[in-house]
Amino acid sequence: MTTCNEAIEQLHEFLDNELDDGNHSTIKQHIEMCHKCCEKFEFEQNLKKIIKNKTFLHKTPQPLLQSIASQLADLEEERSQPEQIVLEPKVRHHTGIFGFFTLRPAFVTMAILLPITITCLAVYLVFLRPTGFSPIVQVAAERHDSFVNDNMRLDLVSSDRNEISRHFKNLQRSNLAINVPECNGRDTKLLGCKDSSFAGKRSAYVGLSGNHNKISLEMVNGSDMNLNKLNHEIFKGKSYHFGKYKGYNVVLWRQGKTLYSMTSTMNRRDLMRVASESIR
Amino acid sequence: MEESAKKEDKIKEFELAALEHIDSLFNVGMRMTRNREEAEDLVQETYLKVHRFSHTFKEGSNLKAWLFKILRNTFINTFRKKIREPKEVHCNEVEDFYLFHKIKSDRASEDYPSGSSTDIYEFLEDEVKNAVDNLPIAFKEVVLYSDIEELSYGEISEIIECPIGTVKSRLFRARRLLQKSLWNYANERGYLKEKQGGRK
Repeated sequence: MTTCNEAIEQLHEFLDNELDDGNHSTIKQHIEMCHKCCEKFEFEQNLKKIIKNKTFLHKTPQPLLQSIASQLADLEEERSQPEQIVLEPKVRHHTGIFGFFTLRPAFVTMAILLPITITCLAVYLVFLRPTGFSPIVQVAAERHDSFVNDNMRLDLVSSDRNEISRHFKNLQRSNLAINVPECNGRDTKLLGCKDSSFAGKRSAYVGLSGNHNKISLEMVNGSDMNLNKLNHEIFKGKSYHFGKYKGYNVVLWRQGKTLYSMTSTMNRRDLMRVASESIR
Repeated sequence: MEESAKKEDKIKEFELAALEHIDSLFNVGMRMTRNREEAEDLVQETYLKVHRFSHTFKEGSNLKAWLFKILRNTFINTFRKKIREPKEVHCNEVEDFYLFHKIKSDRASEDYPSGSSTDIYEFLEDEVKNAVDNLPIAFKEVVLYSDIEELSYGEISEIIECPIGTVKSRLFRARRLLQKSLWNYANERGYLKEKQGGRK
C-alpha cells in the first residue's frame, strides 16, 4: 500500500510523467482511492496546465518566420553551388594567400605595418636624422625658430654695430662676450640684440639678416659645453662644429673663452663663411 | 550528382522540421528576454546556427531539445547573461501545496458572495506571465522547459547541461516560488475587488 506521504513525495515526477510504468500505476491507484491526494494532485495538474496556457501564447510573427525561411533558403542555395556540394560545415579552409588573409587578421596587420615601420625608421635614420644632434643644437635651433617667426622680442633694434656693443657694455654686471659681428661687405646686416641665456648660461644674442635669410648668433662666455659629440669641419683654418635640427643648420665654434653659435636655414658652408668673415 | 541531391533534400527536410518548432522557440525566447525585438533576434540567430551546425545533429536524437540548447547558448552568448542558480532562494518558508492550502483556507473563511473567490482558473494572463518572468533565470528556464514545453527531465538536463537531480531540485523550488508569487497576485487583486465592492 502506498501512503499519502509516499504519493506526495512523487507528485512532481508523477505529473511530469517521469515515473516508470510500475510506479506510475501505483500512484495512480492511490490517487483514485484517496480523496485528499486526488484533490491535491488535480489542483497541481490544473495549475501546470494554466501556467502553460497563459504563457504559451505567442505565435511567431509572420515577418520573422518569412525572413528566417528566406534566409535559410539563401544559405541553402549558396551551399548547393557546384563547388560546395560537400555538406560539411561551412568552416572554410582557405588555402594559400587567402587563407592567410581571412584567418589571421592580426598577422595581416602586422605583416603590413611592420615593413612600413621598419622602412620609415630606416629612412629617418639614413636621411632625416639630425646629423650630430645634441641638446645645444636643439636650443639654438628653437631660439632661431622663434626669431624667424617674430616671436622674439629684441632688447634693442638697431643695425649699428657700435650701438649694440654699447648696449652689451652697459650691462655691467653681465660677463658677456661682446664681439658684435662686423657686417662689412656681403649682404649681412645687423637687426638687433638681446640679453639672453643659452643652455643655462647667460648669453648675448644678436639677430642678423644675410642673403635673404635670417641668422641668429649666440655668444656664451666661458661655456664648458661639450661639442665633441658633434661632427666638425675645418674651414679657413678654424674648427667648426655643426648640427641640424628642424631644418635649421647650426654651426658652433670656440674663440678664446667664448662659445659662438650661429643658426640659419643657410647651408653649412655659407654659414661658416659668414661666421669667418664677420667674427674676428 | 544524385547523391548530393539526396543530401540536399535531407537538409531541407531537417530545416523544415526545425522550423516546425519555431513557435516554441519564440515563446521561450519571449520569456527569457522579456522583449519582443530581442526575442526575434534570438530566434533568427538560433536558426542561422541551426543551419550552420545541422551536421552536428545526431539523427534520431531529440530535435526539440537540440534546438532549445542552441537557443539557450545563443541567449547566453548574445546577452552575456549567466544562467546561474541563485545563491539564496527563500522558498523553504513556502510549504508543499502552498497555493492549494491558501486557496482552501481563503474559501473557508469567505464571507463574500461566491464568484469573487479565488480560483486558479481566474489567474490573469499577465499575472501568470509576470510570475514566470520574475523567477530567477535558472528557475525560469526549467519551468519553461518542463511545464510549458513539456520536455522530460532527461531532455532538460541535456539542454542545461546539469544532472537530472539538479533539474528536479530547481524545478520543484521554482514551482514553490511560482505558487507564492501567484498567491500574492491573487491576493492583491482580491483585495482590490473587495475595496471596489465596498465602495459600491
